[in-house]
Amino acid sequence: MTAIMDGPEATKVSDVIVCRDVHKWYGDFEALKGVNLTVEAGEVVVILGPSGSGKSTFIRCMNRLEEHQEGRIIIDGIELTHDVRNISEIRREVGMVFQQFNLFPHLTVMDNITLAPINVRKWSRDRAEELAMKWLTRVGIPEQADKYPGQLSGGQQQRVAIARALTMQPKILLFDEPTSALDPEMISEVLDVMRDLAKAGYTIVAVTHEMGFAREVAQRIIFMDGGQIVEINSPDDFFNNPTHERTKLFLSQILNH
Amino acid sequence: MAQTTVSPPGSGADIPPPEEQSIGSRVMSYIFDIRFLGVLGQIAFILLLLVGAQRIFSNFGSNVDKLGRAQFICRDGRFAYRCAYDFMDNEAGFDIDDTALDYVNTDSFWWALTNGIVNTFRVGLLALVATTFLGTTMGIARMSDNWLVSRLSLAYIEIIRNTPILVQLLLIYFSVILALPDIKEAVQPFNLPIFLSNRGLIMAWPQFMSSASIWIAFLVLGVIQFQVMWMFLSRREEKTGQESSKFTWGLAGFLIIAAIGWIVSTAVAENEGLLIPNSSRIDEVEDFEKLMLARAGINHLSELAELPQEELDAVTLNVCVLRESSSEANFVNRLASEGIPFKISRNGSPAKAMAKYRDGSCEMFAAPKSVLAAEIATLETPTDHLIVPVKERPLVWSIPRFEKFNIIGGLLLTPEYFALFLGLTIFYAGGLAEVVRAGILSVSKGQTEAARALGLSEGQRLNLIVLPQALRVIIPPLISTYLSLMKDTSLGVAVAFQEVYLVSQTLMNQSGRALQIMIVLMIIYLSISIFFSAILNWYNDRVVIVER
Amino acid sequence: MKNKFLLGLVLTAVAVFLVACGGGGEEALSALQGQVSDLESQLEEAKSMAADAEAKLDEAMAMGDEEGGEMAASTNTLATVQERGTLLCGTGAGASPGFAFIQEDGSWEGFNVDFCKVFAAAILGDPEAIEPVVTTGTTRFPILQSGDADVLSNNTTWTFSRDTALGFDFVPTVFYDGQGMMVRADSGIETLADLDGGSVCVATGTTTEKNLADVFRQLDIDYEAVVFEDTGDTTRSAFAEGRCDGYTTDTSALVGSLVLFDDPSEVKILPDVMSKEPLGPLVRHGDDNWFDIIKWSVNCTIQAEELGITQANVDDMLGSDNPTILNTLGVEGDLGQAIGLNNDFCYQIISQVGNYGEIFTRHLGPDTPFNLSRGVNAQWVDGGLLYSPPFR
Repeated sequence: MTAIMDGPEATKVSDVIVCRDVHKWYGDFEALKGVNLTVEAGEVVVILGPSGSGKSTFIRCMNRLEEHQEGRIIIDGIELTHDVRNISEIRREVGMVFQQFNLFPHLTVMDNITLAPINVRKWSRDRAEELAMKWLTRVGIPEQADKYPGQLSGGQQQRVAIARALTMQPKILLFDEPTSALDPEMISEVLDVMRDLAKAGYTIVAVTHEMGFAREVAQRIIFMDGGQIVEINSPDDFFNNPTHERTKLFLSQILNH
Repeated sequence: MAQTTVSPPGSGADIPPPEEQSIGSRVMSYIFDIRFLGVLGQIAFILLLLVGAQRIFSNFGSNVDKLGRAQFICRDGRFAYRCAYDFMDNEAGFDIDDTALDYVNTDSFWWALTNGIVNTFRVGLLALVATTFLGTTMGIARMSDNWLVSRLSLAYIEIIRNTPILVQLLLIYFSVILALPDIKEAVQPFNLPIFLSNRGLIMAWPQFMSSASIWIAFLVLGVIQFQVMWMFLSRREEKTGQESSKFTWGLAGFLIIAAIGWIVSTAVAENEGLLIPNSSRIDEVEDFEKLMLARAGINHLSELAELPQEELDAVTLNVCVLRESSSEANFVNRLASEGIPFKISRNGSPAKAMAKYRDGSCEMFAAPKSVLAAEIATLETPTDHLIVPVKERPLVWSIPRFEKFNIIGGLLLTPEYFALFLGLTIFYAGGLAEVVRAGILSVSKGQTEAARALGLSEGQRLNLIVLPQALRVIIPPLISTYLSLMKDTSLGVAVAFQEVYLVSQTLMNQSGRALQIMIVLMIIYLSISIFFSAILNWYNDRVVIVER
Repeated sequence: MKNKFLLGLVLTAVAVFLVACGGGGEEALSALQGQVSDLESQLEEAKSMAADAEAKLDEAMAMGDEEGGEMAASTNTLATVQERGTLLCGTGAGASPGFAFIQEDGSWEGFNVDFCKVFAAAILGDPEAIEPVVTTGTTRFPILQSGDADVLSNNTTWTFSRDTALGFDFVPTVFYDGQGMMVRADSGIETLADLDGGSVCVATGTTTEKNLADVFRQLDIDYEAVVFEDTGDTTRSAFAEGRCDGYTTDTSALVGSLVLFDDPSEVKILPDVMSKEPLGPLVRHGDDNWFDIIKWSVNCTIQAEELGITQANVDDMLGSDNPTILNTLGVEGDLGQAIGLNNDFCYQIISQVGNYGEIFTRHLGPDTPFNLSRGVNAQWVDGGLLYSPPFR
């Protein structure tokens, strides 16, 4: 594994995410056991896997919500190290949408969205609100701007969270199981927005259980198990001709349910 | 799913009608009726209350009898309970050392008590603010990722919370503050006019002269200017997006206006004067140098240092002033800056200063002109004396200086005030730190992650996301922390700080009216508590409304 | 909402009961002041009933105490003390060497404590039947007023207002004192006037505090008074730590406190006497018989010294042919009965505790660290102020 780390790895300029031999331990438990992944600009990658496979941990390492102990992660040409300047620069360029939405309950929808642009990007309020309104319109809830998160439905909250991430004008979007906490009838409204973003050319890495979405939108599907990437494949091959036994088992469990 | 039997819809119509009940069970069902029990409970409580009140009043009656009727005699000599507080108009006769309002021992008991209340607030409010800062800092530090910081604050919190406040207070007073060096060896950090000793902390402090009112008017104008400038620049920024340093511009404007105000008020001020005999041949303060040179028989003031002590004493100016007056600071600073040796005699009243002026133990008397004009008329031959104008600035520094065995001038924070302030702050910050920690822990981890993912700095995360949400959880226990703190100012009794409790203890002794004063004291503390909880509850309601 | 109200009621009721049963009527009063007017009539009624009962009680009483009619029955202090079997004697905080000082074994010693023993010997025949009650400058009066002590013997100054408005009665002075000022020996302070600009440590709630204000005001001295609630030794400690330039209290106490300094030669007492401080025991106003008992017990010690009766020779004196001595010791006449005691009450005092001179010498005399001279505290025949009215 040292060979991969030290070797002069050929990466293209268009590679916005490069992960090399990433290891992560929680105490004695090794959650990531040397993960390698390269994502190109504009690519949509979906990570699948059973629970506990390390897929959430992996995606959260990409913006340093979790710290990896070994290996290298380079986002948009900046290496994720302990340097706080690097960390904050990367976080500015990487938007994230969470399973539990994580909107700020004490702020209105508009303030939720404009908080980071004003305080981090140092935009004027007018500029931030203008862009926020644009994104709220795009996700279909411009009329909710002055409400508090607690007054919205789950689906609406998740769409606000997406608008919040996008108003920062990130280069990369990370989705961490964005539909898992939603009632079934609200899932589609969030998936519609994500589909829309994928078509618009955003670089997206998503952890999800929505097989339909993965099949339709993803350019590559990554299957993880036990802290390792088991299989990387195109959607068609992944669902129709999985190469790995573990993948077959996983698919049979999900699709026969 | 299909196996489970489910009653078909509409089957509820088959519920049997209520059973006929025997008389006994009907009575029982009335007795156990929840509404009846409720009323019964209320009646029981009212009865308890009445019995309790009766006990109290019979107790009160016998206590009043024990006190004897002498305590309820009115000014006209009649006996009436309503005259129980007439004694409060009597002369207090005891000193309160550290007061914010003017108090002398000839003032009334009421005024002494009022000063006690002010002292309670003086130490309580400052401790409250300091506790809030220290407690919040400690609570946050306790959860810091930095091992040393979190362990240190843990140690602080555990030690402070697990020892009685009285012990801490006595330790601070006797073992820390009174253990500071004696006043003659007072510590003077960096040669600043700040002296730390077992007589307290004494530091240079600005004193307003009477002409300061003009300057203050300019300052107010400056603040308004600041606001207007800020609003104007913000508007322009929103419209055109042209960014500008609003604070710098506002401050610059403020400073310019303040400077103009300073010049204007210095120019128009002519309130300060100096009373001297004509024979001294001094027409203005600048003549002092000449007078000094003539007296000492030297050519330059710097030669004064070479004079032997007796000669120096002989030429030293003896100046009378009013104790703690701004005229004192103004004139002393004047003389000191010109290097003229002087001795100050501080007097409690103009009459006393004039007595010294008459018998010659003071050569001159520095005070506001209005005071001097009234006093000059009391002299036998007013025409032999004149009032020389003294220049003044709106603000003078009262600078501490050694005199005999104390330092006078400047602002004094007494050891007692300091000890009580520190003791309260340190103790309650320990409790507050835990409250703050619980509040912060109540904010879900997702909020922190969302803030980090958006690129907010740790400080922004704390200030914009975590603390505003933690406040909801923090405020109710915060209210009780504040209330306890305010009530614990009564521990001033242990370190000789004369807040309302210690003053009322003295009052009780000088007057012997324990019952009356206990009642007043309880009303005072009750009012303080209600006042604080009302404010904080109002604030709490506001924070909660913002939620939804 | 309703639940909250109920909870509030429960708490109030519990609080009211606790307070009422604890006897702290004053404190709960403020919470219920609004109801005062409603219940005042009730109070009056209860009072008149009590007065009726007392009138009947009076008739039944053999003693026929004339003043008793106005006071509640419980103010018969003598009966209360005899029933209890011990005397509750307020003796200060136990930190005044020579006057009232708690020994290492927990027992109390001193001039004032001996006077408690004098009273116990007279009333109960046993000088050890005392229960010292700790008092401070601020608590002593409420303690006596509320009946938590039967008598105070704690260096309280006899003043007009305390004797009248406060509702106390002072028995003959047992120690004529004056207020003094202690300063550091190397301070260069020779008189009170030198303290101008300095600070003075003083205990609150004492005549000392007020005297200081009066004297310094008269001298036009600018000073800072640092006022302590004196529980134990705090005021002196603060002075010793250097907080103040002066420490003022009664001269006797200043002398007594010398032994508490690490090096007594570091301090000195100024010659100025700032006030008259006649110190003596006091009782509640209104129980004249009790007042008489305490008064004549003190007189007994003074009279005995004047007559030369000592602890050693008191038994011999019983056979004396001097009728004054026989009257004093109760061999002849029935003086004791008139105040509800045994006729030999004075004999009990002298034989078990001693006469005034013996008490003084024992605690303050040449063999003690204080070595106080009798000064004005000598018998009148020696030019002092001690003078007992005759026992007849």
